[in-house]
Amino acid sequence: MTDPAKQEPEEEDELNPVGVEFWLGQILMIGGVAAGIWLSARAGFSEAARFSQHQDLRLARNTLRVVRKELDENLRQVRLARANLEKGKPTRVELRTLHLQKASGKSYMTAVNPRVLAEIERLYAGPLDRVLPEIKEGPIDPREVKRQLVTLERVLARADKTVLPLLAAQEEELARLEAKVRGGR
Amino acid sequence: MNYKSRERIAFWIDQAIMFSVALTSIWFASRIGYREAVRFARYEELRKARNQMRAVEHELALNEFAIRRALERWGSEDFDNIHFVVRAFERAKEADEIYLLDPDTTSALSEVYGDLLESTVAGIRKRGPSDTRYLAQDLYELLERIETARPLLEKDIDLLEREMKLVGKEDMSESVSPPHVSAEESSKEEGAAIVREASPLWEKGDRKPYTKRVPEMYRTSHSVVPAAPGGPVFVTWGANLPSGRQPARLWLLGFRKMPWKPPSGAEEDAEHLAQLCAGLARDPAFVLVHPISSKTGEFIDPNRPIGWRWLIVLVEDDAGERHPVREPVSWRIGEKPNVPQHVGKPSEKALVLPKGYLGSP
Repeated sequence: MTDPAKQEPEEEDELNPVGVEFWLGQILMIGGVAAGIWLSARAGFSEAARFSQHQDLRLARNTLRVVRKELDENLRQVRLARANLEKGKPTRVELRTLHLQKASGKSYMTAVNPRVLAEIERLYAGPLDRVLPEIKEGPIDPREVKRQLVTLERVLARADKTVLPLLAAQEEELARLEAKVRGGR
Repeated sequence: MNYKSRERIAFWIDQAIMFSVALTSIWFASRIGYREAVRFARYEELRKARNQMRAVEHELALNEFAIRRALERWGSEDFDNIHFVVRAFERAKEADEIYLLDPDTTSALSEVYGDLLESTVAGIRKRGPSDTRYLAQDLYELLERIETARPLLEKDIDLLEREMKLVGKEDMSESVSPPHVSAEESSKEEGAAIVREASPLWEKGDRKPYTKRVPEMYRTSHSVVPAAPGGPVFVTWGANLPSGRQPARLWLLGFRKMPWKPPSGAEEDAEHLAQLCAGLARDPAFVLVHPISSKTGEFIDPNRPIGWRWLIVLVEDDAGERHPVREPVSWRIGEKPNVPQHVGKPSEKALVLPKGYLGSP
């Protein structure tokens, strides 16, 4: 067997571990680490921006769902009041607007078209606002009852024709945007 | 130096570089992380501000639409049940982001959502038949305030989005298109008024400085807004002249913007009133003069659309003094007269304004 140390003495001077490849390796490592940090920070920003947007849309959609539930309950009461008025029975409507009021103060609700909340608000205000206290007091004159019925009919018709479809369309739009933002990952 | 020593050196260089890369990376990552966090905070702030303002812009568009609809037909359901939305502004004013706007914009927004809005809504809810013209004036003033605020807001939103693009490219928005209210088709009576020949003696007012006695004038009492912005309309007037004086000329001063100093209750100074009398103040759309001999009368404006939003009617007496007509009233032209809705029929003697207001100004 031959000793390798004895075999390569004349080549030893030519072998240099701190050569071009060594320095190239170091440069690539430093560059890679720097680029990695920079890219991850950029990606982190994009993800954070997307998360924030997604969060707004999700909260807006959930809030709108609660507002819709509140509206459904109020409309149910109005429908019941109409039926009772027709039968000449005493009736009473207590409109609940807590979630509508709360929703208005939330900054993420800017994701919702203001017309949606405005239409719900318009439904509660105006004629309905005037007629509900009268209904609560009870029928005095049959002509008044007729007028009250007409008002309730108009409110319900507007809810069915304008407000509910608008609300549904907005919920759909928010869900679509939410899916789009989530799918952008 | 033998191979073993060189390898040892390489090993330690490698270790030193690894160590310094690790240290530098941690330092670099924390620096860049901080910078990105700041950038994100800035981006969020801008995005929230933009979203708040877009919502306000949308709300303004809804309110503008409601006002335009109401002004199309006074006393209609759109007028009586007008509903203003204020939620987006209420939300925005509580948020810190509103301070990213130009102070001119916040001031214009405050004017829109100020006392006038509240008092107008309250006035409409409690109105009596004779209040309509005052409420219409309030609505015109509100409309003007919204029209002033919207371009300012749009400009600020553009600036915010430009800044957003510099910080991060995500989530750009589109501006809200201005509301369109289609004008009503003209009735038979309106059609007849449109084709009436203009009275031949109308002249452009000379607009020389007015040096006689300056009368007191107020927005509510001495101006009139059109009962049908799409036209035509007619205006009835009656002057109250000092005893012994005879009416000589009728002055009509039409303005596209409210000629009174806002807020509407502010007292006007004599100099401004003198300029108003001379047709020199607040850039009138036209100043027309017609000779008259009666202290009362009416005139038809057959233009479509009407070229003024505010009109001041002055009667000049034989001594050259100008007297503002108190409470001139504008009417939509229709067959069935309706006083609360301001619909009426002009008489055959009514003066007719020239089409295009003699190419004013």
